[in-house]
Amino acid sequence: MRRTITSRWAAGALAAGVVTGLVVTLPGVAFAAPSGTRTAGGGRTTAITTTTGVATAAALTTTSVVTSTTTGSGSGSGQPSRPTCTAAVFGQAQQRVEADLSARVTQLNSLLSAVDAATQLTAGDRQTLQDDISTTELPGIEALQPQVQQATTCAQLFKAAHAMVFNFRVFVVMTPQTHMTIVADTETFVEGQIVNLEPAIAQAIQNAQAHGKDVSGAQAAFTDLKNQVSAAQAATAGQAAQVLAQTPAGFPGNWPVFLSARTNLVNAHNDLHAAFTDAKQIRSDLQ
Amino acid sequence: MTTRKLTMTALAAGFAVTLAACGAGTASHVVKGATPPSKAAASTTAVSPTATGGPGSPTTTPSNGLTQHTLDQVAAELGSLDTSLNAANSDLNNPQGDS
Repeated sequence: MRRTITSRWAAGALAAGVVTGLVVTLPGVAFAAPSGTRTAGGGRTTAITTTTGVATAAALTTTSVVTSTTTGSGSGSGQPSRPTCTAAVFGQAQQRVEADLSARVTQLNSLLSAVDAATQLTAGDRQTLQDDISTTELPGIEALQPQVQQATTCAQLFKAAHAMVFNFRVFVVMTPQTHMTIVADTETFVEGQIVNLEPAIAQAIQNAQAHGKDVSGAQAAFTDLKNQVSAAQAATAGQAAQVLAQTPAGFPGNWPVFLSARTNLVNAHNDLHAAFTDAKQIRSDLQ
Repeated sequence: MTTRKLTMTALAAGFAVTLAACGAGTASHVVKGATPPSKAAASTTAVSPTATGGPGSPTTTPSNGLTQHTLDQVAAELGSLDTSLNAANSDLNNPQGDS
């Protein structure tokens, strides 16, 4: 999976150059089928599909590269499909970009709902995400929709598609940024919940001991609970801020930031589950 | 002789009255004093197990701060966390495109 993702990004980087080149140097070039897609009579494409589900100029040009790199034929050794936009396929390409824009609007609304539903987001992080989604990304993508609808040339389509991908990075920046911030803040909240229980747990163990109960198991679990929560706090510290600092312009260079944050958040998640298991054992032992 | 008999009778009567009086007072005091201590003892017995307890006596819910409700609250947040983390993992493992 890691190889596949890496390959995709490599392909994406290549595609970025391809698209830019097309936009800048070949304004007459537009969309066509990805590599391997046959054309029917009259040069009309029969289908426009991509393995990644991204129906953009970038994705269309990357399909063959992705395939070649993931099958081990060497990174960058595959030939981009070099889609062409002709009058015959213009309508099809236009519909494809419109669909991609629509998918992004749907995704951004979904992210906005996730933010609204995330009860443990800090006020600041919630505001940052809401601002990013509803005042930058969503209006930006929606502004492209009429441009694409009104486009009459392949160059206009490419320009809009390029902006859609490179300016907003809905799927590879905004989406993980939102979900990971929610994770980080939820973990911080749970850490606080468990830390707040510690004095009561200590008192309960003390009381049980005063009553002649064997508290050795509970005490050991309590020690582990405190260690687990401390580890979770260390893993979570600063993650939300780090993730929120990433921008669309920083992709793909900022992808390792997301991966690193994910590692820390998964570790904290595991620590908190272990702490919860300890808490359950303590309660059971003291009953 | 008559005078001596009368004197002895009077003394005997007085002694008897005195004894009776003392006996009655003592009996009365014992009865009155017996009740409060028994009440006090009962009270102490009722308080002892919950307030201070002792070896072998039932504990006073030692997990007061760790109720099932509290654990349920943490569990709910952990469940929410699991869902969010799954979404984040999916974002990174299977991004919906390269954009």
